[in-house]
Amino acid sequence: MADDIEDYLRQLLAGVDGLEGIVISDRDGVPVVKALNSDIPEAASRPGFLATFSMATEQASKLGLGANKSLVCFYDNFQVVHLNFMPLVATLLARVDANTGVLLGMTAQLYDSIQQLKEAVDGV
Amino acid sequence: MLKPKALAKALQQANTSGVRNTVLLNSEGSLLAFAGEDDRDAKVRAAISSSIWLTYEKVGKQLWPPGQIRQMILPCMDGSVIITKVPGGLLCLFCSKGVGLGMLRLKANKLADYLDQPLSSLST
Repeated sequence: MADDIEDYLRQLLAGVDGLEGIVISDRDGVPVVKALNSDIPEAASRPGFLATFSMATEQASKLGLGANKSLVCFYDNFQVVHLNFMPLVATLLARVDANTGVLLGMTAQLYDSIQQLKEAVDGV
Repeated sequence: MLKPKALAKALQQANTSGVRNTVLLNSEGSLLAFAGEDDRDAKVRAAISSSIWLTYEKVGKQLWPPGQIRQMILPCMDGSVIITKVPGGLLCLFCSKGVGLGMLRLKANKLADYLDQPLSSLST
C-alpha cells in the first residue's frame, strides 16, 4: 500500500508546477510516506521540521477562529503548505512561485490516500 | 514618531468585507496597535500569532538555502489569519469565513507596503 501511495504522490508531484515534495507524516513528524524531488533540502523531510505543524495547529486553534485546517508559510525561495489530517499531516514543499490555491486544493486529492493510511495505522 | 491614533486609523482601512481585526505587533510579540471589532482577546491573539511565526522563522533558518520567512496564512474552520513581516514587527489580519485568501493577502501586502517607510524610520 505504501508503494501505491508513493506512486500516487509522485503523480501529483508531476502534475503541479512548482511542487517539489509531498510528505505524509504523523503528529510527531515521523514520515510515513514521502515523494521528494532532488531539489528539496534534506532537512525539510526530517521530523524536527515536520513536527512543527503539530504545535502550530494546536496554537492556531486557540485564535478564536475554530479548528485550524492548514498552514501556508512563505519563505524567500520556497513555500510550505501543511494540511491537517490529524493524526496525520500532509506537508507540501513547493517553489515560492507555485500556485498556493492549487496546493491548498490538494486536500481533496490526498484525502483518500490519507484515509487508507489512517486505517492501516489504526489497525496496528 | 508614530502617532497611535493615526496608526490605528491606518490599520482600520483593512477592516472591510469580512476582515474583522488588524493587529500590529513588535518583534517580541507585544501589541503595538489594534483596529477592529473586539479588543478583549487582541493581546492573546497577538502572542499566539507571534509564537507561531517565531517557530517557523527558526525552522526556516535550518533549511537550505536558509530562507527568511516572509508571510504565513492560517485557514481555520471559522476564518483565517495572515501574518506578514513588517519592519520591526508583524502585521496580522484576522478575517471571518468566506473571505478569499487572495484578497486577504492583497490587503496585508498593501498595508505592509503603506507602513514600510514609517516603521522603518522607527526601527533604524
